[in-house]
Amino acid sequence: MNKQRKLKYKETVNRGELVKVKTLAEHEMEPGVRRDEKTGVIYPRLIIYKVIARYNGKIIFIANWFSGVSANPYLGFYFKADKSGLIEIEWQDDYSKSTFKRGYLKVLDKNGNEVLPTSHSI
Amino acid sequence: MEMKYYRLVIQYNLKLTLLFFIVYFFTFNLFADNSPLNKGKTLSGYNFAEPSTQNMQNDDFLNPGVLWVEQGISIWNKKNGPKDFSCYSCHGNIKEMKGISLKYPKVLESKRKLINLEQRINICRTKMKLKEFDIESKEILALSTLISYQSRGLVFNYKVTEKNKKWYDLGEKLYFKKIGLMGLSCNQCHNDRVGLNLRAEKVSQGQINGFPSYLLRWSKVVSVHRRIQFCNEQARAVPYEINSDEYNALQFYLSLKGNGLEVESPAVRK
Repeated sequence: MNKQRKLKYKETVNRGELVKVKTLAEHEMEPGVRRDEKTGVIYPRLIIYKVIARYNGKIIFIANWFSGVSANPYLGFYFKADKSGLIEIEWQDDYSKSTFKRGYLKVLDKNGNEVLPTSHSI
Repeated sequence: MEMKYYRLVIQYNLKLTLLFFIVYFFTFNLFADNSPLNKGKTLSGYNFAEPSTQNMQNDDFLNPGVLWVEQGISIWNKKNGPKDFSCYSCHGNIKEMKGISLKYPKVLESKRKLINLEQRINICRTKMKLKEFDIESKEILALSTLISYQSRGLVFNYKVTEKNKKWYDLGEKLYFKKIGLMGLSCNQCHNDRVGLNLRAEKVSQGQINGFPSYLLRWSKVVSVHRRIQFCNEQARAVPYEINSDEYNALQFYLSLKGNGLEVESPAVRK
């Protein structure tokens, strides 16, 4: 089975409201110092070293991680949204193996109408 | 002019001592009633954990044990083997397994011994003509966590009957048996020294209502037997094997000891 990635947030928000984004990745986060008990061979380092959050293609949050972050790491952050759009979280693994998780966020203005990311007016 | 306090003390000696006793009596009684680590009650390990660990358990998103539950669902629905069976084809929806985990460990008539949930799953696997899961592998823990997760919130209600009386006696004997280099028995810590500090941790009552639970020290879900093995290693004793009769008997004794507690699995513990 593939490694799981989880993403959770409040899906409809008002304009200017703080949105809390919660992420969880299933990962063993091997720090590169542990040894096999029988053979004594060091397990090679295998961690997520970077987490990037994008909103409508723009980077809004970056975390640089090193060995020492616990296994199955949780990350939560806040941001403010003016328009509706796509939240994209990217976990960059060692051996440059990236995994993604995406979701749509709906932003409402005062009248309760959705604020679309692009304007269609002529 | 200086105040001479000792004169005041001499003057109001009797009243002061009375006041002291009244205050002492009230505070002592208040703490005694409100203390969560009261010895008389049956308490889950949740009450002895740190607040940050408790928060992880309260929220299903933060709880990494739920990752095992979700893997369990995919194993539950996966068809394989020569008969092309899945767990779903016999047992139906997973929500019908509510309360099943509370029946184990139970006596298997054909083999005349006590088995736990993991062994039961492996017996099912042989019926499906598939290879048994390895002991303490991720797949078997995912399935047993999934099944225990369904009975979350139900109350432990085990009973001693004629069938399992023999195993209950064995479990009780093991619980009070002194083992290892240090000559420790289970009850010395988990009955007599509950709530005291053992290095940086509080000694719990050793209840097993949260198992299979996610242990932060190994960052994975473990079964009860693996946890008791670790307890034995710390007491410098030679542990029994996982799924052995002794551990099953001990597990049965412990679950009877925790009657009245709610199922919390997958719980988060240190």
